[in-house]
Amino acid sequence: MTDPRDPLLDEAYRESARDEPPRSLDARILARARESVAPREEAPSEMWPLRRPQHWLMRWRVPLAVAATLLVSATITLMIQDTGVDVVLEDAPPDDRFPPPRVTERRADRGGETAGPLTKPMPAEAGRSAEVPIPAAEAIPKVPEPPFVMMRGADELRPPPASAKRETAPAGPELQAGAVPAPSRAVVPPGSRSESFSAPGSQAESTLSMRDDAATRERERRESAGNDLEQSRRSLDVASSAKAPTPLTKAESPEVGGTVSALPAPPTSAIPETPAERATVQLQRAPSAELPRGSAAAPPLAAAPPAPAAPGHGLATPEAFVERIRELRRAGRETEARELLEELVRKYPAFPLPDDLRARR
Amino acid sequence: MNAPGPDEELMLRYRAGDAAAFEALYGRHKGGLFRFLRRQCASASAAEELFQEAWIRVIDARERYEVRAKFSTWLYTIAHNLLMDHYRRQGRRGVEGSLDDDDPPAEPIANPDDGPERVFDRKRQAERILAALDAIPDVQREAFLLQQEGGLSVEEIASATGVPFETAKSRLRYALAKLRTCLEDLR
Repeated sequence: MTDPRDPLLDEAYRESARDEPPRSLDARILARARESVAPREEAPSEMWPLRRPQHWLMRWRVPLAVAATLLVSATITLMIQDTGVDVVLEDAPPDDRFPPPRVTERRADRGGETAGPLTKPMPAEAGRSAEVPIPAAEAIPKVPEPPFVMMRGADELRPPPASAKRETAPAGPELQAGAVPAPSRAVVPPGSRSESFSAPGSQAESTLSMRDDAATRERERRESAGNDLEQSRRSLDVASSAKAPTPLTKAESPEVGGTVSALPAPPTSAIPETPAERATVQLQRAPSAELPRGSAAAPPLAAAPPAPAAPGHGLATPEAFVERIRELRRAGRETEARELLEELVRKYPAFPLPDDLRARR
Repeated sequence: MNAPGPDEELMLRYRAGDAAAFEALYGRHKGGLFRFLRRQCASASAAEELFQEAWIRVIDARERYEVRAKFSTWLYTIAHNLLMDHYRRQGRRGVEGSLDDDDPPAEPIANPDDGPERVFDRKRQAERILAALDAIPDVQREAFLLQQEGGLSVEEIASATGVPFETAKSRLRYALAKLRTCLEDLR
């Protein structure tokens, strides 16, 4: 099948139709054709903006900074949680401005709470205080409370059970051998500073509550002297009850720092009954009351003859004297009661005697 | 530079990334396509716009191109569709009237060997042919232009315009008859 054609018309049309597209249009079309086949990395396009290659440190700087911040924060938090304030307490040098006894005193002043040793710093403080004697009036200085004491947990400040404290109370404070002689009973024993307030009985608490009073201090000093006599008498009672007086060595003697708590508590009837026993006590009391405890110049007790204990030995207060005198009188022991009354008058001349005692004197 | 092969081969080479193949292909068909559009558009700017758009579509379809027909048929099919869209935008079916007064027909390229009289005759003949084309219906004119500018057969004209073969053949036959009548004096 042939297409309809007119050769003359075809020639006439081809001669008349010679127009071409503009060159600018040709250039645009060809450029577009070349751009489409060119590699994309070599053909910058508006649709594919170029990206400048960055250094890896620049790309990772933000994630690295965030990670480092989180790591440091977590480390500090864990350190604070693990160590807490103990880091400050243990690493800090010992500061004499904040002596440990004040913590015990403060808790004792609170009333219901009994004093107990701190968990961590207490042993070191106790060891240090055992070497340096503290006078009774200066052992509890009025120093502002350090803040770190209150930062401790409440559980660590919890006092030990009262029964545990009372175990050492009747026997008296423990004194280590070779300890420096203390001028008064306020020497802090190495076991716990709270023991200085626990023996003997409620007397320590009363003296603490009135420690600012000079008259009270004087009275306390007298009572401490009485305690010394009582301790000496106890040791003698033990020796006499065994009917075999064993010479005490210097290390075992409470006067030179022996362990008194190891001895059994003296019975209430250990007061010397016979004049011989009372003489022994008087002979022993004279040097022990005048010489400081633990003094090297103190004569050995083994050389002292056995003497009867004084009738008032072990009675620390005039009220105790009065009660003891009344007991002797009720028992019919008038001679001993009279001697004890004379001792009371001699020891406490300002003490007003009750009417019953004054009448019989 | 390799000798340009058939249009389809050039297009395949261009699909493979050979820009020179496209330049050869473009050189072959740029005049005919431009005149095809120019004869059917009222303004030269519209014809140029459609011409550029047709070639851009060819370029964009490079990676998807497959040899299913002659390249010229595919190219003029694209041009036909663009022209129909252009007509719809203009609110008219085709270039039924004469060309705009401000847009005179393109001047035929003068032969340097021709004398002034010969150049004048060619110019006059071109004006008459273009005037005869403008006088025939657009579908007949399109069929005639597809045959003359694109070198398409009746079957290819039917395929490009989307009409049956007989329709395309009758359109072409009517177009030739009217042009012969208009150009009778040129014989």
